[in-house]
Amino acid sequence: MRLRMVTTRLLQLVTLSAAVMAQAGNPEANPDAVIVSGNARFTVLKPEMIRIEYSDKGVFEDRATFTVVNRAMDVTPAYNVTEDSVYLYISTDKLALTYRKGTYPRTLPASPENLSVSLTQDGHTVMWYPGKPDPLNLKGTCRTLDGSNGDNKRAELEDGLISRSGWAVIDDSWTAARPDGSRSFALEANPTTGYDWWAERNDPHAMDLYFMGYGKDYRKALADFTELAGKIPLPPAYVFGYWYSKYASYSADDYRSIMADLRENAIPADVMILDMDWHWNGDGASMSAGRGGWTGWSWNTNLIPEPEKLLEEIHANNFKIALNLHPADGINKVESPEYYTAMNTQLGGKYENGGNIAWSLDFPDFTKAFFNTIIRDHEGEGVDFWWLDWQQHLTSPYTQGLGQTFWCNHVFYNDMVKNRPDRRPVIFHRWGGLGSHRYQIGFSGDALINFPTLAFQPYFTATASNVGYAFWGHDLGGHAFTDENIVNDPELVLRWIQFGVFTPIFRTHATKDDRIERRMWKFPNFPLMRDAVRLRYSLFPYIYTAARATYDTGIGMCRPMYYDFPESEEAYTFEGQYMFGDNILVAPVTEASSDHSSAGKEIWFPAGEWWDVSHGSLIEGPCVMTIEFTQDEIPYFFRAGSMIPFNPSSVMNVTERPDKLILKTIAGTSGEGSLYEDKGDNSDYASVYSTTKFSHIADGLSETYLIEPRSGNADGLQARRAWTMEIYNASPAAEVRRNGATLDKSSWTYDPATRMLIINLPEEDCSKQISVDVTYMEESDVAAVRYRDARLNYDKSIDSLVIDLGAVQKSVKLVISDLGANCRLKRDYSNVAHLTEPMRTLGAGVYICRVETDKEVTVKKFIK
Amino acid sequence: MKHIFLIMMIFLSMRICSAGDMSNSIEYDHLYIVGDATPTSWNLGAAPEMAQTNHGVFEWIGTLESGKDFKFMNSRDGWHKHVVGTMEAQLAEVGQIYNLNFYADWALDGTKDCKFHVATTGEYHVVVDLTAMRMQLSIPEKTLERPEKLYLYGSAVSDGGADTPLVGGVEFKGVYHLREGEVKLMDTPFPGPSTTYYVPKLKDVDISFGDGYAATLESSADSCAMGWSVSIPGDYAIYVDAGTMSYSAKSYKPYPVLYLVGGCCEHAWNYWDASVCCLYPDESNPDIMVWEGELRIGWDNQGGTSTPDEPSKFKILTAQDWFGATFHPYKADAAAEGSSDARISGGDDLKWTISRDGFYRIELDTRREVLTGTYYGESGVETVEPVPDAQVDHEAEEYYDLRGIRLKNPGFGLCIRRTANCAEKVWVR
Repeated sequence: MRLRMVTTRLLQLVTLSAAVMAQAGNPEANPDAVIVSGNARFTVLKPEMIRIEYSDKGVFEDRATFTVVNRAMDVTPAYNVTEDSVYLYISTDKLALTYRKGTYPRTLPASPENLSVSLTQDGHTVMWYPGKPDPLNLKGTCRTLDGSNGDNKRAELEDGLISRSGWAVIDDSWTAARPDGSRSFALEANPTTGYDWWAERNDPHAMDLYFMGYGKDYRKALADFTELAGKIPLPPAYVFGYWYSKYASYSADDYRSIMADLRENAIPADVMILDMDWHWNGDGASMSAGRGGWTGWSWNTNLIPEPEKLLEEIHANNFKIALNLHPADGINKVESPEYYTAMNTQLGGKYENGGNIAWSLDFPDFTKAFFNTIIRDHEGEGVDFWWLDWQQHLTSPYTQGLGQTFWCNHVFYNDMVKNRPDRRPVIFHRWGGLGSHRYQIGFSGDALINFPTLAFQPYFTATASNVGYAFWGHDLGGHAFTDENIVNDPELVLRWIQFGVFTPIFRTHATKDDRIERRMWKFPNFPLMRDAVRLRYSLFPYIYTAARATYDTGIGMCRPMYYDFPESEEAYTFEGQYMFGDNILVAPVTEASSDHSSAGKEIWFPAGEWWDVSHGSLIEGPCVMTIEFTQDEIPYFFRAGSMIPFNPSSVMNVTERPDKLILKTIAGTSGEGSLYEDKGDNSDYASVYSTTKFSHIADGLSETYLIEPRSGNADGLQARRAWTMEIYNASPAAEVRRNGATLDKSSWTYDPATRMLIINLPEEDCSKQISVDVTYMEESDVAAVRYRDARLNYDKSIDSLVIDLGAVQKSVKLVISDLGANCRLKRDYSNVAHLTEPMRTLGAGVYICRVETDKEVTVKKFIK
Repeated sequence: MKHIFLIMMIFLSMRICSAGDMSNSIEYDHLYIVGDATPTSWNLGAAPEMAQTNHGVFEWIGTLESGKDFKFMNSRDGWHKHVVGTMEAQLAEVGQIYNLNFYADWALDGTKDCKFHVATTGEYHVVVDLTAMRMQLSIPEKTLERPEKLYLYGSAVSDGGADTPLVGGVEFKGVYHLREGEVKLMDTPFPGPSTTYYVPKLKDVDISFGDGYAATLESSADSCAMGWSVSIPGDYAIYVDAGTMSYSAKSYKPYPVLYLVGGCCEHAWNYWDASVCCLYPDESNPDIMVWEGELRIGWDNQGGTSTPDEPSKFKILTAQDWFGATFHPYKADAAAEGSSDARISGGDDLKWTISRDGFYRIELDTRREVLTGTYYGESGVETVEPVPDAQVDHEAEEYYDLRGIRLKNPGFGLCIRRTANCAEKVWVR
């Protein structure tokens, strides 16, 4: 026992090359952080986090587990330990733990009798004890959205790492089953596979908890979690492009046709998914009768006679390729005779039963033979990564509590780490419980095609960040249908795609049913769908920068509003909106429009200013507004002060490196931004990358924008680059200077209708700083274009629009549009405070009225 | 019917699919105590289901016979999922904590099938925590007696003790606005020397805990006994079962929509077609959910194909499935006409009943949990004229609801149409 009697220690920055250790993961805690009391052991990991172990045998766990891989924190926090005859007391700056010595910490039923931890939140003392329920947990994610209909999956969300109670607990005890019934095993090095393998816990009945008392500091809780449980890896750049995916019995010519259609319709794309019918599936319609089934490993050469040639063609069209796998049924002699024979020979008949080699990923010899025989072969043919789809028994029939989902994640990901070092590891599977964040990416599965199901996904996607599962990819458009009336509803598919633009993975998909269309060029509103795809590609520099930030900070790119605004009740209740990266608020339209043209969306805007990109107006929060969005409009809003890098709209692959980028910002508010770049698929991205920082200083009529020299060591990037700056909500510029020299007026334009100043900067060496100084012509009203409560009404009795402007306005512009965004009436007025505009020329219907005065913009819908 | 059946099968299969294949996995939804030491012996089908009091925590109070065995089963679907001790023939003593093992095995080796026994026949309180795989026996505490009255009290309650009335003789309940702080129940309006306090067994648990669990209360004469904590101010619905003295509470919010289903409804029990079964909030009071329309006993045998189940009855769903919470009456076949108490806290699957065909207005006050049914008249009466929505002329006609409030845009349901020459009751659909 190394109990310290009345010890106070301030252990400052025990670094031990901490960054390196944290990266590699050292599961053994710094001895200075450990307090042992009888059969209990406490490890102070952070001021807000204490590990609590109890073993009847006094046997503790110092190996990595499925959940936790690093207990050697960068810094051992300061803590005090005292005791009396009954209790042991441990305190940090944030927590106070009391333990009744010699007891099992958890009573039955649960009570604070043997162990409790208290913290202070909002001036109140909050108490936790083992087994205390927490109905205020902010939740995390779940294994799958299979069967998702409306919000029926809400109840399946597992607890997350943050809570409005101020505390959360990771129960890493082997006894504590995850929702799929699986357990957190230990991990040990394995010479056969070359990466960590599961191992029995030292004491399977031991308690192993991590108490996290972070109050409302949600960001720190998640950052510390990824220090403890491993970082969220950065996926390769190509996964952030558009994925074409549809379950169908596609032949090789079908794939060629799809690629041609994508190209001819100018749809950018980066990933081609080959769903399960690439292999023999036993289905006569797939020319596969009598051979194969749900599981398969060999090409259906009736559909795809020359697979290598096809994959080569797909690569030549700038696609990466993933194949779908349902591995549960093992390797069958009829479906894959060559693979069966080769594996059976390697394994000496082990695992074979009646012409089938049972799926036995629990065991290293099977795993080695499987990957060497089948996976390497297909990778040699051109497969870039694998789409796993485990749907059967959720825990192993051989190893009690070994979760199939988690273990597939671990093995497939680490196999790629070890055996494909020339590329960045990535898998596409499902959430298998805490620790799965180390194995991006997730495919959420089979959701129903309807608006209520779409409406659940913004909440679901953002909330997954509460467990670090940052890269969910949905079946955009929905997977299966029960309502034939909406199966191919263009508006529904469009809104789903528009939502997908602002999700980590942008992949359309649906089940094998000819009645479901996923070729967007077949839809009547295809131009709007393509606009959304193009927006995704324009956003790529911002998205990839956000993905890197996820790796660095542990914060997912889709994150709930309460990360940034924890004190606002609306941040918890407006579940249909979220932050996409640091600077874009997104509130996807998830309801059908009443008239197939526009839909209202009630949006909470937190404190600060937000630029409504669709309508070109500044919104001053905090406020709640209902805004109408036509089908070509997406509700996304730039945070004032942000500087957001965009690709030009010509980009067709996210891996393109255009000679020019666009930098978007909003006049009137200082701020900053950055651009992250690397080679896109390099496995050493942790240390080989480059960053370009931006800053913006607003000072009255003068504003200065800086593009700093690119820093870092990534190679293969362009040496020179041009920029276009798009400054929203700007006044006309009197002068624009670049690096101190006045720019010719032909280099910049101003659009008074949209209040946008566009500055074209010539190509410049990326190692050099670019400064842009703008002097605006008039007194800075740059923050003045904003929505406000309308004082505008249609008076039916006089068939006129009545507008009260409050005070005399020098200049007033009135624009009335129909819901198809067609301008129906325009008027200019001067020196007026009150307007009555006849509406006789308009027929009955719904109209959108925009009134722009000297200081503000009002937008309101009215019905005539 | 085939279509409806198909949709039901899709939903059912999706439900099963979503649960996942847990064939080898422990489940935290249920646990059964079994063995010849128990009253149902080794009859697995009759083995008592233990009450779930917390995530993965199950409790049972009953007689265990000495010298005979007991263990736990995680499923009633055969002798497959065993929860047993760690030593053969383990004596379970009161106050001691025992480790448990879980095995998913159809032919469990006898050396692993470790059962417990007690030394003395008697009533025991058995607690099993599957998250920690531990078990403890204790002597059951005296059952709480139902107080005559209950009041909500504490720093989270604005105005002294708030009355929590007994409704239907079944449960104490109410909706209260609570601020941040602490709250408990007591049997007097104000604390006094004779006051008994009722607090959750799980100390300091948040007020919103309890839904879905058999969360129980304990009594205390100590005014400092730790009650519930309230972390998020707002309205809360609180329920205390007057029989078991178990409780649940949840944040109360008005509903955006509810669903009226039953054998007397046009689409019978078809909840997934929301075209005619939705209750919507009253414009002036979001707590009042309103439906207007026609109810008929059996509804013409559903087009002649078959008579719907329970042809004169209905209940109200909170979601478009059979798994969500349901509003139903306290008494079986309560009359739809007039006012009756409704409950959402569980109980038997009771329904309201209509006694005559015709047009009704059904109002459900979700805050007070009271259903009010108003009968307008028989179907086909002369003053009720179906008017397609497309034919509603907003220019020439004025529409009022049946309380006389003018409607800007008459939606589905009964309303009064007034033109220059007459006023009549019409049915907009």
